[in-house]
Parts: sequence; structure tokens; C-alpha cells
Amino acid sequence: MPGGILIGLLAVAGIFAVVALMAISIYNNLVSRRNEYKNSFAKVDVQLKRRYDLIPNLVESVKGAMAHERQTLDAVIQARNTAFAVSQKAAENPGDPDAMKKVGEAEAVLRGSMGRMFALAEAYPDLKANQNMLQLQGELGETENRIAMARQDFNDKVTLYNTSRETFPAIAFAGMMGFTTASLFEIDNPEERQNVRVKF
Amino acid sequence: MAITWLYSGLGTAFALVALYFWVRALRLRRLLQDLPTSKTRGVFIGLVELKGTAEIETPLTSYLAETVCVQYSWNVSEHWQRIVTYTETDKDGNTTVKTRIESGWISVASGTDASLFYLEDDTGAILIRPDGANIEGASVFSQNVTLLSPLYYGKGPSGSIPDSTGQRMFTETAIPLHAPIFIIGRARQREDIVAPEIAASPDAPLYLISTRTEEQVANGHGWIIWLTGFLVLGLPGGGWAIDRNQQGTMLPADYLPAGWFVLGSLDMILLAWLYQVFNSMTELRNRVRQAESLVDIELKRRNDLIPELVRVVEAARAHEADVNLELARLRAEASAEQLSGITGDVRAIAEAYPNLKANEIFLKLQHELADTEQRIAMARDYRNDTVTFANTRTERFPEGLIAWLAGLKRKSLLVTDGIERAAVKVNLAD
Repeated sequence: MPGGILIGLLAVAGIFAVVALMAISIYNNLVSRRNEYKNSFAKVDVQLKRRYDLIPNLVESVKGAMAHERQTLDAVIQARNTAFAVSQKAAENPGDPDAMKKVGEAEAVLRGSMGRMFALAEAYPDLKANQNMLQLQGELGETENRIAMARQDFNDKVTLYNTSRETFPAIAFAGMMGFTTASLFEIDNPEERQNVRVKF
Repeated sequence: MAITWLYSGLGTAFALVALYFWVRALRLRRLLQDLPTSKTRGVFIGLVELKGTAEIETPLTSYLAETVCVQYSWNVSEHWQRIVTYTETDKDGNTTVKTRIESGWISVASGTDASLFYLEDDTGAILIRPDGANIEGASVFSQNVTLLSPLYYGKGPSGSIPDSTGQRMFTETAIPLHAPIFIIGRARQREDIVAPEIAASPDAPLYLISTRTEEQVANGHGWIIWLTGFLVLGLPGGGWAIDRNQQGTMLPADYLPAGWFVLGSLDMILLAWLYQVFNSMTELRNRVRQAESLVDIELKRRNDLIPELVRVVEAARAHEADVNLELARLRAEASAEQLSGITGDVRAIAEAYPNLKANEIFLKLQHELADTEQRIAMARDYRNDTVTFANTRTERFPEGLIAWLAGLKRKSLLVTDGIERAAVKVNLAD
């Protein structure tokens, strides 16, 4: 009966069409999931790069603030020492106008350096270097939080991808289509899992 | 008489629809059971379950009940009733005119509003974006009023529907401020600050914000599972019985072949169950791996962060000692000096110059240490919770029998070594 054969062929073709459509949709779904997790991996890299670029500069600025503080203080001390020496010399010979002039000059230098010191102290009640260090600590913490979050996002996308490829119906096709299991974030060096001992 | 398959076909089609909802309800209930509740501070990027209270700085006021809330949704329905006349012809060809009363409710006005809010628990708060969520509010208003009530036109629309009986039903649901809520949804990173938020996502199997408890939500799915299960079992056989019945009166024994349809339905349910169990176990296995990796992320964070913070503290301490030493020298010398002009100024510097506070930097380190350990603890808790759910699944009957198919294996919980359990003695001597 040719009619029966025709119906049979149509049914087989129909089933093939449905399976093919399903396979295409699974393929497309897995492709986008795979690209999503690769993108999330790149996002982790972006955060690592940010850390690499940012932290050394912050450290430099803290160093700068520390040095500035030291230098200002040193200048005061040096000016004070000069003023002290000059005035002692003047005390030995009170009549010398030259010595008295030098005392005046030394005191002017001292006042100048003290002025800078006062300005520093007033502008930064808690000292500039201190604020800088607090800022650095805060930034270090936030940077690590960003990295941790980017890694969580990566893990999430990898898990979505892995679950997609390992569940029905995709599991029937994923292997053939070349979708392999993606790895989650893992610490390579087991020592890094150990607690960090804080010691001063 | 020709054999008709109309109702058998319809029954089978509806049974397949019911099967879809059966699998879906099964999946959602499994998800509720297998997903541990996270603390707001332990929320990671991905699917999370949260419990807490709804909080907001500037709450909304709901339309009908005027409740202070974070979300509300109201509806006004109007009642109608009409008498319908129709003619009926009996088998002898006589026609009679009959009447029947029809009535019902039609929604005439509705509205909803929601704002961004926070879910707060004992560890903190997290931003919730309710757009696109399935929101189950608590009923805060339900009144059936007549035209005489000021509410009728006061908060309902003017005019009326055809055949109106002058009865309106005002209902409203809301998530009141401070109300306990239960949320399942996907967390993502906020744009403005380094923190997660819960928002709608195409990857989320569900995004639910409910004033019901987790148990009530799970029980709701339980009812759907039973109901749809019976529909799947009964519909194809029932349709077949109707088809046979239309061919004339049948003896009770003639209905026995319907049993084959019930067997067929059972096969469908069994296959769907296998499919669902396999998929949910695979998903759970992957979530266990994810949870383990989350612990690693926190350990890595500690390893990268703490030594750097310690270095900062060391530098701060050295700098402080350095500068303080100079200042002390200045002070001592100033008091020993006899030159009045300089003495006063130098003393003024020493006094005006504030004490260095490396203290704050130490405090920040302590705070960060505690926070880091808290994050690790939460990640470990989450990992243990997920593993516990997975272990339970491998031991339950009958699904435990096919756990090996999905590669779901028992795992042990993270426990500490003996020495770490003992109380820590604080020793500040060395």
C-alpha cells in the first residue's frame, strides 16, 4: 500500500526534523553559555589587571606622603638647629651686628619651615600619610572583593554551562558537538588555603 | 457506528500539558528543598535563597488599605447578572423556551506599584529589584461593597458595566514594611558599589518574592504535583471512556481496557520522573562543585589580602615611631632651651602636631580580619548545607537508587581538626 509507506516516510522525516531542530537549539544554547563563561573569565582578568595597575600606584602615593611628612619635620629640625647655633654664637659676642643679622635670618628660615609644618598639620588633622594608609587598606579590601565577586560570577556561568550540557536533552548531543566540561575556579597551590598568620 | 477518538485524543493532549506542569512543580519543589538559605552577607553571584524582612527608607503607601509597604497590587471587580432565554428541542421535536440566570465578576480597575527595597537579616541587608519577579503579597484589603458605600466610586472607576448589580469587590495584596519575606532569585553584581543585588534574570528557573514561608511555598507545589499527577493518570483513560460511551450504553466490563491507558499514563509519569530526577541531581552535583569553589574563592581572597594589609600596618607603625621620635626630641630640646623666641614656637609645633594614629590602621586590619573569616565561614556553611542536601538525595528512596546515574556521590562535611575546636587562649605576652 503506497499510501501507508508515504505516511510512514513522512512520519520518519517529521521525527528527524524535530530532533534536528532540538539539536540546533541545544547547540545554540550551549554556544551562548560557553561564551558567557569565557566572558566572565575575562572579567576576572580585568579585575586582576585593575589590581595590578592600581595597588602599586597607591603604595607609591602612600610612600610619597610618608616621605613628605618626614622631610617637613626634618626641615624644621634642621632650621631649629641652625637658629640655635647662630643665636648661641651671637650670645658670645652680643655687640656683633653681623651675628645678630644671621640670627634674624635663621629665625626667618625656621618660621618658614614651621609655617609649612603648621599648614600640613592643619590640612590633615590625622596626618596625610595616615589617611593615605587607611585609604590604601580600604582599596585593598575593595579590590579583593571585586576579584572575589568576578570569580563568583565566573563560577556561576561555568555551572550554568556544565549543568546545561549534562542534563537532558542536551546530554545526548553535547559530547558529539564538542562541548567539554568547563572547570571552576580552584586554588592551584594548596598552601594558599592555609590560614594567614599575622605576625609583627 | 464509527469509532471516534476525539475525547481520547483531547484527554491525552491535556494529560501531556498536565505532565508538563507536574514536571515543573516537581522541579521547583526540589529546588526549594535543595537550595540552602544564604545570609545576606554570604550572598554570592548565582541562584540564592534568602529569608528576612522587607525594609526601605521611604516606603510606599498602598492604594486601598493605605498600608505602609514596599510593594502593592490592587484590583476592583464588579458583579453582573443577567437572565438568558434559550430554546430547547427534545427528541420528539417539541421546542420549549427556557430561561437561566448567568452571573459573574469582571475586573474593572487594577494597579500595582513596587519600589526597590532591601531584604534585611541578622547579618546585613541586600538590595532587591522586584521588576519581573513573581510576587506573592499578603492580603491587606478585601471588601465587598454596594453602591451605597463611599468606597464604590471613591476608589473604583465611575460608570458601570452592562447588567451590573451594583456590587464591587475591592481586594489588595502587599508586602508590608518589616514583613518577613522569602526570596529565591539570582544575585548579580551591583553597578554602583561592590555588592550583590537580587534581580530578574533569564537564567533563573524562578524569581519569587513571597510573604509566605518556604514551607508554605513548597507545600503549594506539593498540591500541584498531586493534582497534575492525577490528571495525567486519569485524562487519557477518561477520554477513551467518553468516546466509547457515545457509541451507546456499555457494560461496566467494557470499560476495563481503559486500564491500558492508565498504564500508559504511568509510563509517561515514570519517564518524566526519571528525566526530572536525573536533571535535578545533575544540577545539584554541579552546585556542590560550585559551593566548594566558593570556599576556595574566599580562601584565595584571604591569602591575597591579609598579608598586604599587615604590610601596611607595619609601615604605618614604623612611620609613626619614626616621626614620634623626632617630635619627642623636639619637645625635649625645646624645654631645655633658654632662647625664648625659638622655644615658644618649637613647643607650639610639638603641641599643634597631632599624635599619629596608627591605631586606626590596626583597627581596620582587625575589622578586615574578622570580616574575611566571616566570609569564609559563610562559604563553608553554604558548602556543607549543599552537600547535606545532596547526601540526603542520594539516600532517599527511590531516587537514591539512580543517584549514580547522575554522578551524585556522597561527600563528607568540612569539619575541623581536634585542636581547632578547643577554645582559643588569648596570649598578649609575646
